[in-house]
Amino acid sequence: MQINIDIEAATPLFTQLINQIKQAVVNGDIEPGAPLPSIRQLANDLEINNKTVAKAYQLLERDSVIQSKGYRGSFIHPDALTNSTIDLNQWVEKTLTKVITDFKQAGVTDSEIRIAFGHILKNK
Amino acid sequence: MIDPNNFYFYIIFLIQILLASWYIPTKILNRMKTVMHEYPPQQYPKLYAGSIGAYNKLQQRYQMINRILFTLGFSLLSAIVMWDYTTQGNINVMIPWAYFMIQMVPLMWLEIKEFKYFKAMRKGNTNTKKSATIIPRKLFDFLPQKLFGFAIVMMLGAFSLVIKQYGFKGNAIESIMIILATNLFFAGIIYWNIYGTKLDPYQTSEDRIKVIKVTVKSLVYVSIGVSIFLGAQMLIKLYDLDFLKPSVMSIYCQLILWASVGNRLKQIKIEDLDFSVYKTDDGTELNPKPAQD
Repeated sequence: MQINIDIEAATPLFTQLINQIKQAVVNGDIEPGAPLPSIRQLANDLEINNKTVAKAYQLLERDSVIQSKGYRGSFIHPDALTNSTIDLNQWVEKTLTKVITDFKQAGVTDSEIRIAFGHILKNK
Repeated sequence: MIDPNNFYFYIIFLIQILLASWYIPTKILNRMKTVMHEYPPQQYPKLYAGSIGAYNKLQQRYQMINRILFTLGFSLLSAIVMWDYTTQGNINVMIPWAYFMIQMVPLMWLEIKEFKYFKAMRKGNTNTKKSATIIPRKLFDFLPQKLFGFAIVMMLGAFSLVIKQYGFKGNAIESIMIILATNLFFAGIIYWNIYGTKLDPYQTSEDRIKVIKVTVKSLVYVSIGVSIFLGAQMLIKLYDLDFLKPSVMSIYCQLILWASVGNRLKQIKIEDLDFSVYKTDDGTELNPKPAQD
């Protein structure tokens, strides 16, 4: 199973990695429990920064698509298939669109929305 | 009169001269020529980071240096025979080792050149698409566990002979530390081969795995050779066979060369490698580059 990235594409490299790993899970190219290459191996092979791969792995772990087992490395999560079909970005965008539409209908201005978001994110 | 004990050394040293300054260099040169003939720059431009002239010059220089070393080896051997004839003295054990180190200079030079060519290749690679396999690479994917175990047993065997000879003090600790450092160095190269950056940007995953397998095995063979050499040295001391020292040293040098370069040349066959990756992206032929340095 190969991962292909385009370093000049508009999509960030870590997103390309995340999408391809999720796609591989959905297509059945990698089974739950299968080991993944180390961050260093994948970064060296793709000639990209270790931090980029680390970020992709971190986000995949957050989405429960992969799981880290300490020194043994990273593995595909047992529930990866279900979790790979959920697109958190898409869900956030959809929810926010609905909320912002409600605010605007109530007459809240853009800057008031931005300030409120700022406050909430700061306090979290 | 020639010392009969030294006679075997002359034969062994002659083989060392022929092997390291004639046989192996000829094999390497033939390989280079075959690649340039079978995969010319017009059809495989990505294979050539420099001009054809530069590659030809490299081959000529490599051949010339080896011819000089070949002549030097015969002169050295004649001098030793003459010296032996007049003085019947013992041959210094460092002679085959020092000569072997000089014999290795062209190979090291070639290795440095290869690194430079790969660097130029990576610089010239304009492809923005990168690919990697999602399967983790592990040591035992490239090395049979039995061979690894054998290397460890040989190392421990050599250590026990050292301790038997010297006891657990000065000389023994020094020898053990040297062998451990050597093996750690090999382990570092193995790690770098398995997990490090790909030198050739166009190489397929399959070819990379083939090359890593051979490199890892070669290094383990060399490690076994180092242990055997250390063990042999201890046995020579134990049974007071000092006259064998130069011969054992020469055999050791030849074994190292066979295990490393010889094994690589034998195992990595040109016809088994995928050269199509070096073709132009659209498959068209290019005009030949002018011959220049």
